[in-house]
Amino acid sequence: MKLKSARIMMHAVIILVAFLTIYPLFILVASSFKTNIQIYENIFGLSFPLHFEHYVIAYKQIYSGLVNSVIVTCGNIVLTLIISSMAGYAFACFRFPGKNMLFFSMMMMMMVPYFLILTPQFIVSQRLGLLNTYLVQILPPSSAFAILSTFLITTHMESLPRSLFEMASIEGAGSFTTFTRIAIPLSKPILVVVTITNTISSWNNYIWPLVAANSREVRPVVLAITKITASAHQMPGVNFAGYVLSSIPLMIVFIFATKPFVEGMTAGAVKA
Amino acid sequence: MKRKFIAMFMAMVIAGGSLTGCASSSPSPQNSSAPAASQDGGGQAALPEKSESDERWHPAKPVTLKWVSWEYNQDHELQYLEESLARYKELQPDITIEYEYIASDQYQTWLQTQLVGGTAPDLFLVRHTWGQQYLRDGTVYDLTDALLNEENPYNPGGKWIDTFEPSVIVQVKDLTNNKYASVPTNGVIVKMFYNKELLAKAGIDGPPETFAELLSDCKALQDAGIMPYVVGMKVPEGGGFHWYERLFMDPLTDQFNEEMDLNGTGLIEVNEIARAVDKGVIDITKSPWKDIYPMIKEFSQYWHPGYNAMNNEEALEQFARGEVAMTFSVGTHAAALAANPDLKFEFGVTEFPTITKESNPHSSGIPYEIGGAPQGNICIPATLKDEDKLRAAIDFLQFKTGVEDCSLYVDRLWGVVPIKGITSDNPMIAGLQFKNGVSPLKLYETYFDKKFWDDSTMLGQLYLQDKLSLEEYTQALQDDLVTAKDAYVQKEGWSDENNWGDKQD
Repeated sequence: MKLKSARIMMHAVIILVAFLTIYPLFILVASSFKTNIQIYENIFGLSFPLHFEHYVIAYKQIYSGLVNSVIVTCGNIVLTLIISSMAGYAFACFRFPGKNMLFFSMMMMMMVPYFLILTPQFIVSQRLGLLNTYLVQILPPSSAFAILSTFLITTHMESLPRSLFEMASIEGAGSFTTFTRIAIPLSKPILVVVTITNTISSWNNYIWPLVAANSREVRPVVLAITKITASAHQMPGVNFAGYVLSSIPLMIVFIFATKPFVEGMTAGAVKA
Repeated sequence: MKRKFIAMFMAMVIAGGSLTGCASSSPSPQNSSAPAASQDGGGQAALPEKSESDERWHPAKPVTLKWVSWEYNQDHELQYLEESLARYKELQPDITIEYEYIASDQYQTWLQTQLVGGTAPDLFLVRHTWGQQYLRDGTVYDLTDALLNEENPYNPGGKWIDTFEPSVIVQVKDLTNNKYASVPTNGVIVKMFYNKELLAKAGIDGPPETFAELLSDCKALQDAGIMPYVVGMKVPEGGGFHWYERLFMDPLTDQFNEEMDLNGTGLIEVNEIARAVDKGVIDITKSPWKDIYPMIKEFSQYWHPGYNAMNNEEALEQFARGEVAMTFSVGTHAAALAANPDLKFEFGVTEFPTITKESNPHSSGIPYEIGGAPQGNICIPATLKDEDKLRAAIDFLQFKTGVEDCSLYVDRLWGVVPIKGITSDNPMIAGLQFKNGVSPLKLYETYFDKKFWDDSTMLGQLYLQDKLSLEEYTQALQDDLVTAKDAYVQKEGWSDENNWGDKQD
């Protein structure tokens, strides 16, 4: 009886937490179909008529931003995965002079507030002629994303059995073969974690594209939604529609990657 | 050995990459530091002479200027902009203006990065105080010579500077060096909006003209079951509340203006406020300064109860729902409100009721209006060295402050402009122009002291809810003023000897 009531209580808490998480999203979606007067008359539920045209207005203004964000995010992910997996493998599997110093100096970069390097990074990018290109949205952010990713991958690879690498070596596999055939396949869960966290960071990156890639041709969706225009009575409904549209690609990523993501987060938590 | 080499190479790749920079999506604090000085050395570009064949100057070759602002983003605003730029294109076929909107939340961060990198657009919007700082830093073009010595071809008949409302343009001038860094292209005015149907329902003929009438009308509305008034007093914005502080304080403290106004501009600016605090002229703990708060408190019993949680825009939205009889809001909102197809009532605009001697014996009875601050201030970066582009940028500023474009602005956006003599036949638009003098005392502005500004709202909320006494409230505000004054004296070296930093010509 006691167990049953505890379980009911637990379910009630879970339902409450789920409600508190989901309901604000519902308000966002519901508000995206409303005019501003409808929002103020009834903020918590749906109001009729629904203004589907808000989505058409928003989509027309942000679709190029969506394409740009996909390109930039893919570039960031590919570059980050290549750099951090190779560096993680090196840090985890080899001994070399200055290894610890390199590792810690890299980690220290995570402690530097972003705004301290915004201007120097902008000037470097400007001197390299990278402003208002896809590259400026890929190279500097990837170097930042790679720090934490390298740390995660290093930690994961250090937990892999040494004997696997030794056996591969005995069988004649070189470093690169061991990396691609042994280390990478066994690190799939952590690579998924790195992919998802960096996808979110890259997709939502705002300040850097604002200062370095604000031209119409290359600006990502996170900037495009700040420039949405509509008539005063359609606002902020059209803005909300833009927010919903811009988050759909992220939702798709989550739908397909939730399972491996959870596996990655819990990898190594339980010893077999 | 080979493995070690590969390992070192891989590790150095990532370490090197990490040192080149980081990026994150974390929200940013406002970067208040000024940009570094101009990279291209001193000296301003010489301007080409005006064409003899035309009243106006024309560029020798096609010129394209990029203009960035946070101002125009709604359909009706963009429609005005399109008309405005099309007209300019007719007048200046070889000058193309490319407009870009950047949201205001990170605008300053964006702008400072561009100024430091030398990539700022040819024309950009600033607050006039930012522009003054940028000019001191050498990152924007000094417009003083053009303003003082040129005639505006789009508003002929005198020097360009003389076409502006003196009370507006004086605020643009940096009194520490007597220079102009930006040109204001529009203005702001705050008016009382009233719902004609709700007033009629409560048996009220028209909007109140005095504060005493306002209180009795509010009482009549309340008795009729109608919410009388809505105010936005949300922390930290607090904008609405500060408007009332100024509206009540100006007529009550008129008697001190002559004593406080060191340079005779008619406005009591930062250094003059500091001096008045130092001399004990401004003392919020004493009458008549402190008298405004009990008056506001009496008025607040008729406010929509959510005033602590609303900003000015939300207060206006409450009014737009048709359930509140009156509010006080920025004039340009009237255009958007009138164009709203969902609006179910007729509204009017008028000045806030006058504080007469009937309400307070100290009152001068002079009505003041909130607004008059220079807005739409446009700067030109110091890095713009191409003579034609620089001349074109100034020409565009002259067009924006010319009769034709200012009239278009007033007509389309129902706004106010900084130049003299613009009127409208539309009674609603005419009602949104200045009828009275501009609020002279700049005490309840962010300029003087942010803590005082914030505290007056935060502690004001407690005072209005009887959680803080008048004495505690006004003492806290006075303490803030004295602390701010001391900080100015220490930082700027202001004293009687240097006329409190005033270098007004």
